[in-house]
Amino acid sequence: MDLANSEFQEMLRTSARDFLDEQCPITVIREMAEKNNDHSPELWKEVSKLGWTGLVIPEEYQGGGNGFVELSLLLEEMGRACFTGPFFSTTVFGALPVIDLGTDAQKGKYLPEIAGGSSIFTLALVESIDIHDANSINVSAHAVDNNGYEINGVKLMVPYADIADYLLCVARTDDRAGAEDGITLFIVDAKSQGISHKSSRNISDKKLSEVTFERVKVPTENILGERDKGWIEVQKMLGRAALANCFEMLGAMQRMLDMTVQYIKGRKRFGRPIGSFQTAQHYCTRMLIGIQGARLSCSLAAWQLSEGLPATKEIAVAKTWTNEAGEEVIRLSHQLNGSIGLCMEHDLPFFTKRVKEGHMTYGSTDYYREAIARELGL
Amino acid sequence: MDFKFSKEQQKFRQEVRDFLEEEIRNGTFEPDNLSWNLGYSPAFTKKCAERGWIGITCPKKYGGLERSYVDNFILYEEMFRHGAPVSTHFFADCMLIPILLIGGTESQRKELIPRALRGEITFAVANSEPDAGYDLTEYTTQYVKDGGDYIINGQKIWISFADHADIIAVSAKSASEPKTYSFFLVNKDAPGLTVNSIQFLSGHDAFSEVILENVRLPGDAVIGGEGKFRETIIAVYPTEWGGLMRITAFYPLWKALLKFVKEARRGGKPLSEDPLIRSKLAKIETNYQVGRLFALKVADSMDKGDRITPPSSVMSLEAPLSKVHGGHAEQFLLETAMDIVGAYGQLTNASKLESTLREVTRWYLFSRAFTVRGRPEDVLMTRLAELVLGLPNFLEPDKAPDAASQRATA
Repeated sequence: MDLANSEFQEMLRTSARDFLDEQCPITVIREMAEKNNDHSPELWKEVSKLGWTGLVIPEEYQGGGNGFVELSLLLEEMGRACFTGPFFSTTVFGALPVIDLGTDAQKGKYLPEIAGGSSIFTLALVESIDIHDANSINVSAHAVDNNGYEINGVKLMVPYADIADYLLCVARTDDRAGAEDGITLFIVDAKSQGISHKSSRNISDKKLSEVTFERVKVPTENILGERDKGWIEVQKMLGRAALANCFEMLGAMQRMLDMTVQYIKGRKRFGRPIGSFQTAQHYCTRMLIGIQGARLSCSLAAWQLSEGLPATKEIAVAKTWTNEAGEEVIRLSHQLNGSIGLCMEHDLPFFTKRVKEGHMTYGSTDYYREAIARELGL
Repeated sequence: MDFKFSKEQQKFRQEVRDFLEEEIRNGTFEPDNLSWNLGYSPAFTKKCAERGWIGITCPKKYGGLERSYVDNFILYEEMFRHGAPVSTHFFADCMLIPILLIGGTESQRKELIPRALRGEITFAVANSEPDAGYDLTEYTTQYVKDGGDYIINGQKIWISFADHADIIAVSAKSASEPKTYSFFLVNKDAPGLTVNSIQFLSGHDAFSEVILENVRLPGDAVIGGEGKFRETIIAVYPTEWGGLMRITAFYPLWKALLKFVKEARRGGKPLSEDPLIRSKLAKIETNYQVGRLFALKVADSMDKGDRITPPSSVMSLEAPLSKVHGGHAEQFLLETAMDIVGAYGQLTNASKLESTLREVTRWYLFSRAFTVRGRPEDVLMTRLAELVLGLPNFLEPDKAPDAASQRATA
């Protein structure tokens, strides 16, 4: 039992922070946002050189061989820096599923590419308001000859669709079975004939695309995992994504509290810092409690995953707590930063948008409360 | 980072669990809520003492097992989850022994710690007064020196467990030396000492007032020496604020509630199928799991050598935060339980409900105290803001933040 970071973990975290403070200050993020740019190839190259793209990839595939705990430390620092780029999607929807489910051939092909920074992955899943609803999966994949499938349909909210090398596509291969049966994961070359996008912006100005698959050919060897048995893997992936995203939220939330405390120490009214007023202090303490609870509950869930232990309940506890804490940090930090905090010339809104984005992606508080209820045996 | 309990720790947990489950099977105790406060059983304490399960973190030098704080976490987690009647020794374990270790004389430690470890001491701490909380400048309880003795006069109030305690630690200000606060060990049978139970809104006998009229104490009754109260009282806070007692005390009621919702029906379906109830129960579980981690973090920090004198992450961050969260969590549990039992909640003793649930109304009333007792939550929130976030003190906004710890507070 040791709740502190190991020496290696602490070194990873501090070196990540040093790099991000220098190469990815908020001014860089601001510039990218002004240019409607959500990916910087230069930054991506640096990040790969640091070993981040290969962080969780086994050493035999040119990765660092680290676990979910190390990944979580990195994600928290990236959240704190408001890092913009396809690290999350490539790691959570590329590296982790291939490590879990890939054949030796698939691992040998994709993992070194990901580790080297030359492959970007994203997830093509969403078809309705509910990402956890198997009934909504209607994008179809029909076998068309002895060695291939044809994918047809429309996927929504695909991040980085335009720059991704591969789309991990969740498609229905058997529509005679029940909703949760007959779903398969396909690694689809993003430059395949028949793929087209229509993009929109999300709350953080990240590009999300509506991706249309029109008779897109995919070889059989690109099925990830077992045919027709993909839905349970999607659930696992979404659980990991929710937790990973909680760490990004956590970094952003801590940054928002730090900014707020700094501000109210200096800002004076009636001859005294507004940070000396007890309401302001209690708002900050509420944020602090939320952040500390998020940190501990998320760390426990990350550790469970690192150890290969089941983490359904731990992830649900971490997600519901972080969601609510995140919402409170948004509300109270804006309350204390006043009008200036509502202007884009201030840094706070960048983090607000990221925290809210995290809150609403990968499953609502209600969904995860229901997961906890099931774990309680109700 | 490692959340795994060691094999020895898992074995220890199983040992405690096996013992408690056997005791329950044999009917030697019935699980109940708030057992650290109200579960009084000298017989049970004797069994704990026989197993060495009192003051397990105490140094071997004084007869303890010198086990880790995480081991202590395990011990009390099982005790509270099973609603075991530990109050007889709990205060001596988690308060007297730490107080003596941090601030007692060697002779006081040698005399009292072995007795506490044997479960022979029932103990209470008396600080609060009708007109004074943690701001010691408001104290009216005071002492004078008389030859080699001390004479104390005053009144303390809201004292937990004073009704049962054989020894009460009483804090008082010096009548002659300004800003000098001392801590005295007072025997229950000392002439001039009166303990009156307070009629608490829930009907529980949990708090008393302690009146001292010319109570004469020998010179060696002062803990450590004169003027040492403030540096000594901090010994109780890792447990008082950061202990499992603040989050696990209603575990028996929680288990009973989870069972109840599966059995009680509304509209032809069990309550457990109602999404709103499922969501609230999930929130309670989340609060519990996070509160548990807060207490585990305190234990982990203590094991890493946090000495609780500044700089101390336990005292400034981890323990206060745990207390604030715990108060809310337990109140929310009882408010929700009241909602769920519906009409049965009108009775103070609803015989149709399982034993640990049937007094939910009285527990709900008691729970109004949880954000007040031990240190009011708004005070702890201010403390967190000043000590952790470095925000300026309201009374002295121009002073550097750690000036806050220099003011005369407990």
